Amino acid sequence: MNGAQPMRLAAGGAIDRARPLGFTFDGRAYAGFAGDTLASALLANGVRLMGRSFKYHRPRGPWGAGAEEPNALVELRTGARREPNTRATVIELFDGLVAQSQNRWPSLRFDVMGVNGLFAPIFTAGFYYKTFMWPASFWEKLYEPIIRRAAGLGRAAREPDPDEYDRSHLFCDVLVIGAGPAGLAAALAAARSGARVVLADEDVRPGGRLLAEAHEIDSAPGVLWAERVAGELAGMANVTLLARTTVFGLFDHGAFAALERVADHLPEPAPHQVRQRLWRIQARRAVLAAGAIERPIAFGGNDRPGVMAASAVRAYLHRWAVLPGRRGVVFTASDDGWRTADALLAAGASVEAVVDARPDPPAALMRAAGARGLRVHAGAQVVGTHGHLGLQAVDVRLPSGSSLGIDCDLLAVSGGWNPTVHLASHQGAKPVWDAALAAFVPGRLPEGLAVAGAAAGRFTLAACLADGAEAGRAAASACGHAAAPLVLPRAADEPAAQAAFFHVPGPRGKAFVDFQNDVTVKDVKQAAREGYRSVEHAKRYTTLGMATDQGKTANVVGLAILAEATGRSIEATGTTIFRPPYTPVAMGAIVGHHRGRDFRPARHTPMHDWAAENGASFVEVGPWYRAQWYARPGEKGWRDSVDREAEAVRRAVGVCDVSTLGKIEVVGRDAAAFLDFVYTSMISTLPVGRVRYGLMLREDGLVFDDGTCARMGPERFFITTTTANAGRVMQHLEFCHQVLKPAMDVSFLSVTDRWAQVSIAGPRSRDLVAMLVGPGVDLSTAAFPHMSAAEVEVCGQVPARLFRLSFSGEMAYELGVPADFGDALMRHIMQVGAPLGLVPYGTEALSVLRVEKGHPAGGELNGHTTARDLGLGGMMSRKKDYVGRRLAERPAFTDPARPILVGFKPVDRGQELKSGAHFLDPGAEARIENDQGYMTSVAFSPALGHSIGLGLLARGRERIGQQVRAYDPVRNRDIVVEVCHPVFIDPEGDRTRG
Amino acid sequence: MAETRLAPRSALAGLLVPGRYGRAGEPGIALAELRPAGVTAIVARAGQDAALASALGLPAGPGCVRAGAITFVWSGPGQWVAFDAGATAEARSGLAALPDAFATMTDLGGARVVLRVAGPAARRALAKLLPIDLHPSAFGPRAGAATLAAHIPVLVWLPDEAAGFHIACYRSFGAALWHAVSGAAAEFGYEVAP
Repeated sequence: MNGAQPMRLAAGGAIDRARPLGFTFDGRAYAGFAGDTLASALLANGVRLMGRSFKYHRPRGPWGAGAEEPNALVELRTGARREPNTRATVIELFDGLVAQSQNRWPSLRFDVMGVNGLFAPIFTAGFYYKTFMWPASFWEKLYEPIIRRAAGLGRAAREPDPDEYDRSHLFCDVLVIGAGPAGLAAALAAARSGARVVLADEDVRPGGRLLAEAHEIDSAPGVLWAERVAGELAGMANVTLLARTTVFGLFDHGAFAALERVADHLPEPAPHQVRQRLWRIQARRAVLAAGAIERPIAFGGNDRPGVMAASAVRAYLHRWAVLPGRRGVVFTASDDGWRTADALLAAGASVEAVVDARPDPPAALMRAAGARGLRVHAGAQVVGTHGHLGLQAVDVRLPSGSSLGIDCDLLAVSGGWNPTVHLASHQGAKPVWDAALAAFVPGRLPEGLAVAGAAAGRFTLAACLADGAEAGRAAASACGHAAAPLVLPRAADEPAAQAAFFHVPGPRGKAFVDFQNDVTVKDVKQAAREGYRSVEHAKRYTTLGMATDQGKTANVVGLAILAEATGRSIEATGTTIFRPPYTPVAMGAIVGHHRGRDFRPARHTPMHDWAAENGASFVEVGPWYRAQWYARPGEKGWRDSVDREAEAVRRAVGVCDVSTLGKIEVVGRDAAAFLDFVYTSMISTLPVGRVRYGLMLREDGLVFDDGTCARMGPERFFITTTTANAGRVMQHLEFCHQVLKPAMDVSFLSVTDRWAQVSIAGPRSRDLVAMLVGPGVDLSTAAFPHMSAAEVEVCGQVPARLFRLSFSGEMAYELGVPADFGDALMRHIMQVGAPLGLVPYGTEALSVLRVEKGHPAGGELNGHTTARDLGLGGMMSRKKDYVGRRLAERPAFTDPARPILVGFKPVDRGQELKSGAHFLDPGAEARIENDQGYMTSVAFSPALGHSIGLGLLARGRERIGQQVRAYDPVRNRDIVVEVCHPVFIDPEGDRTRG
Repeated sequence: MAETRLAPRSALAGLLVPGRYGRAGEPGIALAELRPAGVTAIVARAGQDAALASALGLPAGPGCVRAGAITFVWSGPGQWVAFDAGATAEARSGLAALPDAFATMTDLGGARVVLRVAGPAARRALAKLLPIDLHPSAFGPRAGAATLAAHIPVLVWLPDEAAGFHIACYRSFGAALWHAVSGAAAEFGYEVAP
C-alpha cells in the first residue's frame, strides 16, 4: 500500500500517480493524485468522516461518488472564494486545495451540537411549525437566529466574488446529455450523419458508469471504448464536446441551460479565464442519457460513515484505486449490488457477507458467490450499525428472526437504481412507476426529447449502447440527417433485476431517508399520520427532498414509505415536481457579467464627457446618465449649485443637455392623420415650421406621455417624448399603426441618438443663439416666434435643427446637431456664451424651473391622472377621434370633485414642503375618508425664496387662496399650506413669448 | 473672432487604444471601430417593400448586401440601414435620388456606433453576447440580424468572412457595447489596430 495514502491500492485507477497533489482538510495536510476528487483523496488517506448532519449533527462520510451526494458537503477555498456546501465527491483535487468541514463546533470529531441528537423528539417532522408558533413576535428576533445557528450548512464568503462568470449560446441539431455508454453511442450515431451535435457531461472524463465499473466492451475495458469514441467525436468539426458541464434545465421550445465549470478545478482562474460559464443551448432534438442514481435503503444507523452506496464503493475501487474499507458487507436488493463483492475481493478486501433482502436472489448469482466462498444471507436485512465516528459492525436480522452481528468497516448498500428522469420532467410531465423495473421512468416526454439508456430504465450495458445508438440516429434523422445504424460494439447484458425494497421494518436507531435534511422513516410516517398525505405536503412538512441535493437519493425512498403509510400504491402517491436546476448553480453564473455597473447597459449623451469634466453629478433616468447639477468650487451642497443654476436661467441664460429626450421621426403621406389619432389635440392643421405641445393618452383615457411635435415638412414630423417613456411611446406608435391603422402610409424612426440637443433658456438666449446660427437667421419674435422650428447651420458648417420652445418659462430654444458634433457644440456654446453670463444647468435646476412654471412632469404624469386633472382639458379636441378619448369621458374621470393640479406654498414660508404629503381640510381627522389629494412635486424656488409645490387637490381650482393641511405621517410632518395657482412665475407667459 | 469649426467626435473617443489586450499569445480577435461616412435609414412606403427591395437589390429578410462602398442591412420589415464606407458622390446621389413614392430616407449620421469583430475566435466571442446561431451554416457571408447583445439592441451582419462581423448599436449605448464586446473577447486575446 501507498505509505502516505494507506487506503490507496497499489495499482489501477484513472489517476496520475506521477502527479501528486497536496491539500488540506480542516487544517491537516494530505496528499492525493491528479484525477482524484476531494472525497477519493480523503478516503485514500483513511479519512471518512467529512461532515456533520444538518439537524442532529451526526457524523457523516460520503454516501456516493457523484453529483447526488447528500453527506460529504464541505467549505471549499478561503477568503473571497470560500464556497459552502460543495460536494467533496465532485470537487476535482488541485494542488493547494483547502477545504473545511462545516456545521460543527469546535471540531468535526467533537461537535457540541451533537447533543441535538438527544433532543431528537422535538426535532421531528413539522417541528418548526409546532415549536415556534407563539408568540409570533419572537420569530425573527429569537427563534430564527437560534435555529439558523444550530441547524444549517456552510458559510458563504463575505467579500465580493473576485472571479468572472459569463454566459454563452450554442445551437445544434442534437444535444446529447450525458457521456456514458448510451450518450456516447447516441452522439456518435448522430455525429456520423453530419448533424451538429453537442455532447455535454458533468464529469471531466467521458464514460459515465464505465469509469466506475469493470465492464468490458469488445473484450477490452469499457473506459478504452469510451476514450476511443470521445476521441473520434473530438475530431469531428460538427461536434462540440462540453466536459465539466451539467445540463441543469430544460425549458420551452428546445432551450436548455447548462453550467460549465471552466476553472473550478484550478486554485484560481488563469488571467482572463472565467470561473464558470452558463450555456443556453438551443437544440432541435435532444437525447437525455443522464444515467441513474442508486437509491439507499433506510435501516437503523444507515448514515454512519462507512455505509456507502454499492455503486460508489465500486467507483472508488475502480476509478480512483481507493479501498473504502478493508472488511466489507454488501446489503442489496438488486443483482447489481452483488458485483460489489467481486470488486472488493479483486482489490484485496475481505467480504464478510452478502445480505440480500430478497428471499430468493437469482441462482446464478448464488452459484457464483458460492464458488468464491462468499457467505450469503438471502431474505435477510441489516437492521442496525455500530461505531462511534465510523462503522465498526452491523446487525443482521436473518429470515429466521434471529440476529447476527458482523464486524466490518464498510457496508455497501444497493437499493436498486432510480433513472435520472429530472430533465424529462422539467416541463411538468410526471415520471411513471414501472412495477417490473421497480423504478420511476420518464412519462410523456417534452417535444423533441428522447431518453436513452439507464435514464430510460434500460440498465444493462448492451441495452444502453443499443438504446443510445438508436436514439442518436433517430434524432439526427429528424433533423434531416440520414444516418446509417451504428455497428454496435459487443457488451454483456449483465444481471440487473432489482426489488422495490426501501426500508427495513423495526430498525435499531434512526433510519434515515434523507441524509441531507436528517429526515427519518419515522418522520415520514408521522407526517402521514398527521394528515400530510399528499407527497408535496409531506415534503414541506418533513423537509424531505429539499436542500442542495433536492432529494436525489431520498425522494423515491421517501414517497415509497409515504405510500405504505397511507395504504396507497407508489404510483398513486406519485412524485414531487422536478424543477431546474438539476444541481446547484451559482447566482454569479446566471448573472454573468451583468453585475455592479454592468447590471444593465448605460446610455451616455454626446456631451457626457464634457459634463463630467465640468463638475457634473449624474442621475440615472432609465438607462441614461443625465447631468443633475454642475458643482463649482466653494459650493457646500447640491442646493447651492441648483439655486445658482436656476437663478442664472431666470436672470441671464443657461444651457441644458436635453439629448436624452425621446425623438421620433414620423414620416408618410398619412403622418398628419396618424398623429391626429394618437395626440389629443389637432396636429394636421400645424403649418410646416411650427411646433405644438402634444399629449398622448392610453386607451383607458389616462395620460400616457407628453412632448412636442414639430412639422419639418408636409409629410415629415419630428416628435419628442419624455426620457423615461421614449421606448414605450415608440411601441405605442407601432401598435397603433400595425394594429389599429394598418392601411396608413406612415413610418417611425427613433432619432434620439441622431441629435445632440441642448436647451438654451433665459432672457439672453436669443443673443446666444444668434451667435451660433449666424446673422442669416432672423430670430425676431415676428420671424421666429415661440413654437417655431427651422433647419439652420451652426458656425456656417454643421446642419442643425432649431426650435423655439420653453420648459422653464423663459424665452428658450432647443438646438440639435448631429451627435458627433455635440461635444464640440457644447464647448463652443460655453465659450461664446460666457460674456452673457451663461451657465450650464442640470436636471435638478430644470425641475425647479418647471415647478415654478407649473408644468406637469414625472410626478404628475404618474399613470393616475387625466388631462383634466393636469389642467390640460383644453387640449382634448372635440373635433376628432383619438386614442383614449372615449374612456377619458368616463363619469369618474369628469367628476368635478376629482383632485386637480394646483400650486402650494407653506403658510410659514420658512417651512419645507415634501412630495407625497396628503391634503386634509384644516381640523379634519387624518383618516383615509378625509383625504383630499397629495403633493406630487416640490422645489425650493430661488426666485420666490421659499419652498413651492405642485399637487392634486379635490376641487383645487375652487380653493385657491384657502389653506389645507399637508399631512405626511411617513416623515412625521404636518404643516399648513396655502393653495395657489400652479404657475408661480410669469403666469401671463410674457417672458416665454417675448 | 476667427471662424470656429466644430470637430466631430466619436462616441468611443478615448476608449479604443491600439494595443494587445486580454489573454497573452496570438490574439484570437481583432477589434476596431468603423466610422462610416454616412448612415441612412431607408423605410419603404406603404406597400412598396418588394418594389424597393428589388430596385436596390436589398435583402427581403435578415441579411446584408454590399453594393460598392455601401452596405445595406435589413433592420426590420420594410426597413434597411445603409452604411456608407466612403462611397463615390455618384453612388450616394443615386441613393438620394430614390423616388419619394418608394421610400423614406432619414440621415442617421453619427447615430450608430459600429464595431468590427474579426479573427478566428470572433464567433466564440460573439456567441457570448448574441442569442442567435452564428455557425457558418446559419450565419455566413451576407447574413444579418436585428437582435440584442448584452441587453443592447444591435444590428449584426457579416459581409464576408474576410470583412469580419459588424455590429452596430445606438450611439448612446456605444461605450456599453464596447465594454461588452471587449470583455467577451478578453478570454481569447484581442488586438485593437492603430
